[in-house]
Amino acid sequence: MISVKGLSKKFDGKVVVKNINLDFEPGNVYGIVGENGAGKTTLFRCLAGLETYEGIISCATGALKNNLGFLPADLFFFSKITGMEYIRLLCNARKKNIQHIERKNIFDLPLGQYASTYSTGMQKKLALTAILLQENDYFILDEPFNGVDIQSNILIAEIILELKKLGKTIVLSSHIFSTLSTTCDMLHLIHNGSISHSVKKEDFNQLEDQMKKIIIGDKIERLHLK
Amino acid sequence: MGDYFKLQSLLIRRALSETGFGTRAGFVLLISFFSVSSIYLFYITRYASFIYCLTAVGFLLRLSEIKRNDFLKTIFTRSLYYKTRIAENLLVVLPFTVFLFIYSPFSYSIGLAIFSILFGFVTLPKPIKFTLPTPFYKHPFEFIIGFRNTFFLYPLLYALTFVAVYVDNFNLGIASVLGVFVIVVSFYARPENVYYVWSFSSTPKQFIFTKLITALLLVSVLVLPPALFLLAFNFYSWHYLILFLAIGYLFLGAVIGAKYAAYPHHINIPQAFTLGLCIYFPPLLLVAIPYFLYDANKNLKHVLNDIS
Repeated sequence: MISVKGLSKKFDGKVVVKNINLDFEPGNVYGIVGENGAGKTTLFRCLAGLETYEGIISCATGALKNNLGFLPADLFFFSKITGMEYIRLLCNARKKNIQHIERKNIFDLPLGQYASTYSTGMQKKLALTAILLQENDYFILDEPFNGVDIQSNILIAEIILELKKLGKTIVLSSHIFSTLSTTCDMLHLIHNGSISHSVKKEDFNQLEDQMKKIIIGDKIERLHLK
Repeated sequence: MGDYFKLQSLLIRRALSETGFGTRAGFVLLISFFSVSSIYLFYITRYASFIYCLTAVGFLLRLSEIKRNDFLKTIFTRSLYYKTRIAENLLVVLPFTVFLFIYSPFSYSIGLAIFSILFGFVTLPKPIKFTLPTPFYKHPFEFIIGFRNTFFLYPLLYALTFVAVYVDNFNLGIASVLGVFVIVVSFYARPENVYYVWSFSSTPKQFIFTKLITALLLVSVLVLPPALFLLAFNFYSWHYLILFLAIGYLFLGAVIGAKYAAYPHHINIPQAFTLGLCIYFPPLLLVAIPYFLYDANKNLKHVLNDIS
């Protein structure tokens, strides 16, 4: 279990994440929903230990980062490293000697090509494949469906459900509500750095209606589309 | 077109102000630097005009890059696009033509200006998706990327070793061996994205130890062939060769230590100065290495979340 208590993060005096208290249980998928700039990515980076923060993040199995597969929203690839070499690098970093990588290339990526030449979606699939092969217990997936083709999105959703079955803990964000409603057990709404609502699966539809009402408001009318 | 150049001028002013000198001072410094380097270049070599033209062409090539040009084509009409390209190319080569006009035959500056106009009609093709094989493909990224970036230099250095043996110049052979170390040190010049350090489930000590061992083993693959070849024909000088190899290995270790002592930033001025001193006085490496490694160990605790 990952336990987050009183998590806050400031950048140059500006509070980006404010007093967040959350528990992430094994075998559950948690969705973090919020507008751009609401603090999702900062929250994820704090959980991963990539940012310093105030508060406590604890993990039942010791150091979280050593068992964490983190898929950042903004991926970085070296200019002359192939897909295969990238996967091997990330697996070696976790001391995993993975055999038959070609067989596990379920997204049919051109692993012999430089990863920097991949499209956005292919890079995301490569990064996801690498963290899956690391055999982690915890996953933080920042917008895993973004920029990925529809076929792969279906596959990613199935992978998440399979990880859930295996008792892994998954925290993800997405701007596509349908992907969240298919995969998540619970949604946490983040607004201005704080968790404003937490909703269980049975109330997702209600939440979607509420969100639509708040988000759309009179904005379409204000556009005066002609 | 006017708006485009106004925007470019704004971008240049922003870049100058980000240097920390301010826009005006940055501009003056830039012009001074360019002028001094140009005068110096024409002073030191008779190939200056050739190097100068090549440098200017290098800038023109960057302006002909496909993504940038595709964008320009989407925002300008066809004629305006070509006018912009030509004007931009002429502006870029203008400082070069001024110095060429002063220091070289007239034809050079005129030739460069005409070439820049013609280059306004050129867009470079997309880079070929060719993957260069590397013997280091199973190892961490430094040697994979470094080898691919510098592969063409090894045949030259190895040929230099061969020439050194052929003309019986041991010092030239040592220079070729040290050249390999210089190339490998460059693999560690830039700090990698923090994700690639964070991913490791190691303590800082284990992390640095693995980096050092990997570097020392893999550099041997590149450096031992010319070193052994040199040794075979200069056996009586084996102790000099061992000495220079030891300095090479130790210097590489020091650079790795300094890199992670400064991580995630670039190696800072005091560290670079210390490394520079080590080149002039190699015994200093015996003090610098433990110092850098101690700092690196302390520094990596945060990224690797080592709470021990």
